Amino acid sequence: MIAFDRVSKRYEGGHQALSNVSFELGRGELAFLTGHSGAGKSTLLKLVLAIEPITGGRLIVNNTDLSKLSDKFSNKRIALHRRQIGCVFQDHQLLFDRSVGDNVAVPLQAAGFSPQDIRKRVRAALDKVGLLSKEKSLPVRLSGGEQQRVGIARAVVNRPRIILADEPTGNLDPELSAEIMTVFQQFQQVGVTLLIASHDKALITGLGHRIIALQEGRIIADSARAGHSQARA
Amino acid sequence: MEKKQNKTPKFANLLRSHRKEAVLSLQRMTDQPWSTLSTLFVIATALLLPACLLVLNSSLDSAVDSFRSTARVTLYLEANISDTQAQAVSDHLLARDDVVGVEYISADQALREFSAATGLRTVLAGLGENPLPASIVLQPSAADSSLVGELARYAASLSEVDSVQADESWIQRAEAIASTLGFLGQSLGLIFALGVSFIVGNAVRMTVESRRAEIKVIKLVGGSDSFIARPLLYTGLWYGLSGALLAAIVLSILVYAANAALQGQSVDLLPGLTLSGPGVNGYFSLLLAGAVLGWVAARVASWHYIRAISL
Repeated sequence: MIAFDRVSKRYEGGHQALSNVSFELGRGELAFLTGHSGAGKSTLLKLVLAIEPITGGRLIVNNTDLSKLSDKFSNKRIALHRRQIGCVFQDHQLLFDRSVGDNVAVPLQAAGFSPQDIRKRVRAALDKVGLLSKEKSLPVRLSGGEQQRVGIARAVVNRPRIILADEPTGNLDPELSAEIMTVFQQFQQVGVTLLIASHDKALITGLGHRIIALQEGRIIADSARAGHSQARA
Repeated sequence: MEKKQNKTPKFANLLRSHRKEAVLSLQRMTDQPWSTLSTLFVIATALLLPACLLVLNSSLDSAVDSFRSTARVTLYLEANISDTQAQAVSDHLLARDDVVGVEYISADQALREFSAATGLRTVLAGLGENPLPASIVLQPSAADSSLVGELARYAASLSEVDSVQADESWIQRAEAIASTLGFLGQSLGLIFALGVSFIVGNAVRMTVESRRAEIKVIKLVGGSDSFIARPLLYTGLWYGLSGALLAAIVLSILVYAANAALQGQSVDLLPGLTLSGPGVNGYFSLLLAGAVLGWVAARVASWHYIRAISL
């Protein structure tokens, strides 16, 4: 689903954010991306989301070759690409002027679904994260963990094949973090590919998933290569 | 890639989305009545000035037209021309296509009218000889200044005619004023159209600023720029249209008030001069111009500002 082949990213100012990064994530695989801040985790996620173009190598996400992502890569195509990917952020990126349900509905509205479909899918997504009862609440009334679960509901409401998460448990206590991870694992079990950036080593090492470690823009360790058994597709 | 979305409901959804955004953007405008009103007022003012000039131009044009229908060319005949000869000249001129009427005034008739009008009968009688020439007054068919000039030149070339007096200078002056007003109206219209675009563009910029977080999220979850721009385009459309509507209302009041003022004047500025409003077509053009301007300006501005938001 995600294939990095000697990918590098140099920003316009000259900062080399990623160098020669190669790894592959198959369908239904869950991998953690670790490293100190500034190691290139966020840049890597931005490349997958086509927020930034790569400057070297080859990157294929969901059968789309993002190496060709340039000015010619139209706005419409980028939008279609992003609809296949669900995103979860550390700061949730919820809109506080509207209800939980309306927040979750945003990707569906952007994709042009009918109001009936939107209502159905929003309720299904909220049900999955255990927040169906909060559909009409405003996000400010929810706890941090609940807000993050709303973020996850929004990420999965469009039934994406890939979920990206950038420090999804960054602001949560260990108990809530474990809860969020359980939700992610449930999506993995139904065939979704997940790439989760996190520096919470204590949390992720115990889970037994693949861990890719970044340092100064390079992969310094990949547990899949080190011999861990991983489902590949 | 999944290509499961089928086309028919997609189009219906697009229509529904347009309808929704049109209403929502109108609601957002009414949510901040003062800021919206001040923007509308500026837009209306910018549209009003060129519209006024164009109204003045067309009113002057039609006044000139009606003035032309009363335009006359007077030929003063040589002193030795007899009534019969003068009648022949009149008939000859009446045969021309550009003349619809002739009136012959003999020297005697002219003297009678003059003395009756001035009361100088005894003085004139003392002269012994009639000092006034006979004259022929021509009514030109449809008189623009070049046609009247042509007719006057032809009449002057006749041997029986001593001198010619035409009213064309008056017509030319009024025409010059009208065309200057028209030119001013059109060029100011262009300049103010640019101004209106900047006003709408600024309103769009402020809306984008205030919805920055929302736009960012929509971009991240796969909303295209055209989806994000949709409500902004309607904002531009509503601003342009309601600004033009306000301008149209003020314009009709101004025309009414100006006419009242004109009628109060003791002298006629120009015979037949009344201000006529722009008419149904004119008002429609004004509204259309406002709407199109608003839409186009919002399109350009939103394209620019939405792209400027980095993720």
